[in-house]
Amino acid sequence: MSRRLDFSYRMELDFSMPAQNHQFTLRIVPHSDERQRITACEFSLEPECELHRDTDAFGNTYIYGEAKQQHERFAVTVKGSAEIDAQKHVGGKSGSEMRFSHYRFQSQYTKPDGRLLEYYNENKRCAGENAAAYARRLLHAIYSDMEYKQGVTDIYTTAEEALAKRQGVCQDYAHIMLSLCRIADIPSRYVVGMMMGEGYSHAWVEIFSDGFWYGMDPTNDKETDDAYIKISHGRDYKDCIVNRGVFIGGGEQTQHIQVIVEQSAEMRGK
Amino acid sequence: MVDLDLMENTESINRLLARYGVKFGIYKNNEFKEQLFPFDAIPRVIQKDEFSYLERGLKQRVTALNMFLDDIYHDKKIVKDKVIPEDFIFASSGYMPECENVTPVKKIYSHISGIDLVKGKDESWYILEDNLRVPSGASYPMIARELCRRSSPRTFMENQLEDNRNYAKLLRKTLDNVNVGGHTVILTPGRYNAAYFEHSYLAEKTGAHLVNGSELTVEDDKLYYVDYRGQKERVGAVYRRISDEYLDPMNFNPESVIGIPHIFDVYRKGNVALLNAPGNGIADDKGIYYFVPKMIKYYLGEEAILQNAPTYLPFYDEDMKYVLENFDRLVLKDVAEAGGYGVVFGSSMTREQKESFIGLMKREPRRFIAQEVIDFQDLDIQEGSGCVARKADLRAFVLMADEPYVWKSGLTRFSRNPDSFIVNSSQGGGFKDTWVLSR
Repeated sequence: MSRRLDFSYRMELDFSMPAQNHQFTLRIVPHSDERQRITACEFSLEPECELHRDTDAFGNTYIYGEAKQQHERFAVTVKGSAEIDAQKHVGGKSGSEMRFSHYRFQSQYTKPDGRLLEYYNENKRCAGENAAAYARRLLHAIYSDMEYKQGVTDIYTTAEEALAKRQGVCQDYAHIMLSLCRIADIPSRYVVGMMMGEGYSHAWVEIFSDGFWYGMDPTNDKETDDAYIKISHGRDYKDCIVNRGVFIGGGEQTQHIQVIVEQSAEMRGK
Repeated sequence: MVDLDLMENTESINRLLARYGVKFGIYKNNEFKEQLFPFDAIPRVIQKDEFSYLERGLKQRVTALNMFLDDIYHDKKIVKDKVIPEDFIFASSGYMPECENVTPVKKIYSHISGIDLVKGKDESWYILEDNLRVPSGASYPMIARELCRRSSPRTFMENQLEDNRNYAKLLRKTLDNVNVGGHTVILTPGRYNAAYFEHSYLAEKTGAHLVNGSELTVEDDKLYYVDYRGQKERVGAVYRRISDEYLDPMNFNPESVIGIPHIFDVYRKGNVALLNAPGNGIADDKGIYYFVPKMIKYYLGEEAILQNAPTYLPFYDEDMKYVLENFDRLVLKDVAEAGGYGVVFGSSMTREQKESFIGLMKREPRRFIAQEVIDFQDLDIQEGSGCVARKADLRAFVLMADEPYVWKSGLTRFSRNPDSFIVNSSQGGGFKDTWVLSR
């Protein structure tokens, strides 16, 4: 049984002074997989410029280009519909776990030091414990040991640093979970996506167990269900940055993000 | 064999080298210092037969390393067949997942390889390390030979040796071989780079444009060179002398101001050639070094012609045991470091240092390799009016166009410190020309 969702992701970047020669790379377009089918997707960008599209080494769609002209606002909107079947999981299509080897090892944001190793010892994977079962255990542990708080961490905060603070946002929860799963030898990856409701983009993790990827959201202490739309995945935050850019000028920048995910209008009518 | 004529000119050649700006920049305590790269006129001489043996071994090695790179970023057969453990690939900082499934033009990854060797007192050659990212050094013997020929023409009439001034031609051929249409450029980070002299010298000798990142731009999925009038011309090959990390702020280090936004995106699409290919760091990793002879066997079905220095991986229990039992006579290397940093001799450690090092090695066994200290041959260098013996290595250059070619010369570096085995230029060593006899 699948569920139809409408989504819109709008990101506005306002400059206090005009910016130009603005090179950008956007990982903001979701793609279809076994679990989600993107049935419609429109992309628009202000200011108007030539766009290029490709798929990166992790399998994410990305759009890049250069806004040469002077602009005080850089705004991206992605709108579309998705059909989610939460019963299905993304599989190892190649039939080999090899493809996911780089997700088995720690990356820049997840490298454990003293605190994470200690935390792992308190939450050790039991001998023979199934990867998904262990990850479910971790969900509860991280959720109860961390306090969700904005403003104490930033985009540079590593898992080790966030754990030291015992506070953070979805990015930090995800990095801590990745670090522990990787210590436990479970391939796991960082996911950026959208969640039912109105607000910001979200981050969670996927862990590889018995041939499939399972979505785990430690910030909400639950496995992903049909209220989640995935945009991108990678080793950690760095591989999934929604908007990367370099430009000349610009002055001060202010960023606004608004994500809306709701039950498809069509469905609501029924 | 070497006459006094050449030796008498050491000082004047060094003066000329200084005037030509043959310098080596190093950063120490965050300060940029340029120092001269002292030249010693007594060449290292390699006999014709001996060199053709090196040639065979080097071609074989670089061919296997290229196949390894193609395999790692595509099928990973060597890992699936358990010749190399996964940990040594995917946990290495040299492995770049961004390069997965990217195939460079003609499947050439390491166009310019700098392979470091030493000759032991037992007369056999050993490979010390492979440099497949941005190996520098070819320009030094090139210019030294040029100046020596001018100051002592008689020496070169009396000795029959291979001319090494063909390097520029070989390099140009290597660059043109993968050019996808358009100009060939040498990309430099600028004059504060350690090897800036080399960048400008090679540009001049090959006829390639010497450019910095701000002179290149990506448009309609192609790379362009923008000249001073603002005119754009297509670039088909970039001999980049900046590391992967700084190559493209949109794909790698976002703080990089010397890179070109989106250059990696157009490279992935095959619209420009990058020399050497990004991601090569996985093949010249100190941990992977151990596996190169196995690689040669695996890909080519041949025994390695050139041997490694005997190396142990604490990652394997058996090797760990050996390393602990023989700690005092081994040299230990941190696989993440380069340029002579992160190298320690077991014998030189205090008891406390030793204990803490062993603790670290037990916690992170993959991070270290241990090697037998090779008692390598000394070479004579001039000091005052006499000669003293100093440790020296050889960096051989292998250029890969359609076939690998070993340059019939090389950079011989020596340590000026009589007690040191570390010859890296960044550690203050000097250099010699390398003569390959033609008969």
